[in-house]
Amino acid sequence: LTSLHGVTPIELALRLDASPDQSTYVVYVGPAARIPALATELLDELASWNAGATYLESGSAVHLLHQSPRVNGMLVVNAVDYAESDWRQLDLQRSAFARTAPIIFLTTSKGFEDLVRVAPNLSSWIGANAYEARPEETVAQGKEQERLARLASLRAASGMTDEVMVKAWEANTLSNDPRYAEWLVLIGRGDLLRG
Amino acid sequence: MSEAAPTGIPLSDRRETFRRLRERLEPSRDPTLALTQGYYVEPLNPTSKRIAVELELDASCTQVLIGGVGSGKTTELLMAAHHLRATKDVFPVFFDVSVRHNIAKMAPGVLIVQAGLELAQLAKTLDISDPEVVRVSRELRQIAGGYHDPDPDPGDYDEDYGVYVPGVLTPEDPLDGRVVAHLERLRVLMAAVEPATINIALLVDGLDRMVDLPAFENVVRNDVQGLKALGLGVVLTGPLRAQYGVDRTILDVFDRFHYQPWIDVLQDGGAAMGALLRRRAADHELDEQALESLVRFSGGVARDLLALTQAACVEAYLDGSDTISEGHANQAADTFGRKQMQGLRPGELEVLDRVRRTGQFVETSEDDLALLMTRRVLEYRDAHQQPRYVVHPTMERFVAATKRSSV
Repeated sequence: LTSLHGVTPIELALRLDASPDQSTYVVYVGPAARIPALATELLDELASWNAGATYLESGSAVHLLHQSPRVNGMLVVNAVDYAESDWRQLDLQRSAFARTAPIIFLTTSKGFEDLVRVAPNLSSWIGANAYEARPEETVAQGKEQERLARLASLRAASGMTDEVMVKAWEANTLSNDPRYAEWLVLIGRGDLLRG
Repeated sequence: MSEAAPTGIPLSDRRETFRRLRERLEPSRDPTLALTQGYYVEPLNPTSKRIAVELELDASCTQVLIGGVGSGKTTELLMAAHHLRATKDVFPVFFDVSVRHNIAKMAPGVLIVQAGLELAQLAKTLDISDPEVVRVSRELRQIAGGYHDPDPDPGDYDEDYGVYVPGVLTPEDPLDGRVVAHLERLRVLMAAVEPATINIALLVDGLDRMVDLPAFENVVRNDVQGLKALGLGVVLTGPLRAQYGVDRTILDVFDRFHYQPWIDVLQDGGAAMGALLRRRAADHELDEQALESLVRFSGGVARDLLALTQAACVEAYLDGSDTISEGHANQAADTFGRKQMQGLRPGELEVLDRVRRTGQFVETSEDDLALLMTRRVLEYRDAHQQPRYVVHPTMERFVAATKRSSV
């Protein structure tokens, strides 16, 4: 009834694309065993959108507080090993790791429940930016629907058909917006990206 | 670039448009920026003005500001500094303790040393090069950051004196010895900057996050009282839990107590919250129905209002729309409410359901207090300080549905 909103790494990257230079706090929840793969997918996706991010395997809040100021830009933190005490410490010291780019915590359901319970300040900064990784089987089933929905959104936003967009791409009259590259991939014309 | 979206904004421009809007709605950005960019909307009977007036009347008074997470305490402290600067009678010095110090390890003297560092910085800004000021400033930096003592004091215990027999008289609440030494350093700095500052008021943020109330009390009884004895005004944010139960006695140590409530949007606060949002998002970016929904879903928590609107902004962006509409607001509230529901125990769900149905809430346990701290339960006060309780509006339907499914 009350599970978090499920998104794929691609969808999460799209959401982050709207705020690459802001101090946004995001939580992405998944099973512990899937976290490394989710991190890889997310980082790859962000890289393809020219929004590179740094990955940090963080075993503790102390480690993050030490490392965070040394990293510019978006930070993806594997926080699977965080205990209640780690979230509590981040809650107390949020001012000390205030950033100017998003920070994405990858954690488990249990880890996020701990965060919400013991870190009310950090939780309030996260706001509505808490998502759950969709189960793999759901991802497979939903991929085609997702592809069609995304294409519909891109067509609507630009006012172009696939054909018009491809012609414009070939004529080099489009801006460098990465969504044109995504669009080409979605219609199976990724070959044009190598041109 | 010639292609255009149906609503008129080209695709790449659209991303920049939404990025700029989202930036204006960022709840975790430095509140100083929000003030300088004109996003502040003065609430009814603003706490900042009450704080400033108290300091104008008594420059060395001590005040504590308590309020829920995201209720705008930092913003009110900053606005109090703004009002004081306009009067020129009191010189405000604002700092956040938690930037330099882990507040899980608060000890007597931490506040005084940080205040000293601020005054040392002020003396430097004023080009004061008096050797005594330079020496004291250096000592404070060493005390703050640590140093190597080549000739440590062997200690003040000397066996030749025999057994210590305590005196009959015990002075009331003696200050910690370290605090007294730090205060002497502050006295030097205050004298140095006095011609430029007249009366100094310290506006201290960050202590509201403290969970160790005995440690908070220690700071109040040592540092705050010591600073007051020096003639400094002190205003600090305190933990919300300090106003409930037996812990409330801590507040009696202060000359004034201010409560920064969440704003009751169903009574008279809705317009102010709407105005706050309208400063950041124009009509063509956020339609009126969406604005009303977002204000209602926020429960009067300023930070949640921004977080919800920012989330709705992303939904509109993904939806291909140029304007945030009610549907986007509802999606944002759904995501927000799901987050708020995580980790609730059966007993807490019972309490939430009772609050939802009856408006009754009695803080009798740590778990009850936690519901207030995490903004699952919101407390409003009327003009007579009578409380009214609601479940966070984004959670209401989830609490009801969960309750139904468990019956």
